Amino acid sequence: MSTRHYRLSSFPQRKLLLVRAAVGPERGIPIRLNLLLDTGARYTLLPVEIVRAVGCDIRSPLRRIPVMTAQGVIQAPIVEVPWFHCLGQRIEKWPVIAHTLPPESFVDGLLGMDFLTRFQVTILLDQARSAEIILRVPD
Amino acid sequence: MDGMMLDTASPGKSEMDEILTLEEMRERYPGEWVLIGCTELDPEMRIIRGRILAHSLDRDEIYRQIPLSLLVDDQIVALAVEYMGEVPEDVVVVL
Repeated sequence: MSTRHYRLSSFPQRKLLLVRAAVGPERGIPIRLNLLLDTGARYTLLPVEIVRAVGCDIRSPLRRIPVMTAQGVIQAPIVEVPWFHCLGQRIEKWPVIAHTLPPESFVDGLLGMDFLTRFQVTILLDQARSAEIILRVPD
Repeated sequence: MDGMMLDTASPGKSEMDEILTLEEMRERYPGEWVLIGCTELDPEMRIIRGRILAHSLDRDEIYRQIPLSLLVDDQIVALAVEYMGEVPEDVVVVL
């Protein structure tokens, strides 16, 4: 196992934690994302427009799952993006929820527990002045 | 649409050809959402420089401008959608 440290960004006023990620098509340039680190989210969630841009067909999802939104419960599609990269880890064919958060969230999506539980993860918060995530990953 | 979409097919020097730092983008498009063709990222994927491909007050309009076919570009290493204003202090994300 090797240990890797990553500094987390926070906003606004250091109340929420941000991670940068990228998602990409099989061929072509990737899209860089600002994701909210959300230990309350079971799945990683990316905008519909972005999963379409990397080649996913949301009309033919792997499956649909109920998602509670401000407008009520919707059946959101789960689709497999060609690749996803976050915290130094690249994962091929990664299933994500395709759902666009409102602009007022100021993030592109959520990094959920499906990603975090692939690794041994420690999140360090220093009275919210700084934040760091430590990943232990197999060599 | 609230903002001006840049014509990516325009020949010659245009706003879109100019490579800006993130700080320069914030000064030029305060309070707007922008689609950035990033020409340089740091190792933690922070945007160092890029070209503004579209800008608008409407975030969803910018999402709709992301091309469905992401072709390889000589200079652009990634696309990104960023807000060029201050995030309100009391923002709460509830799904």
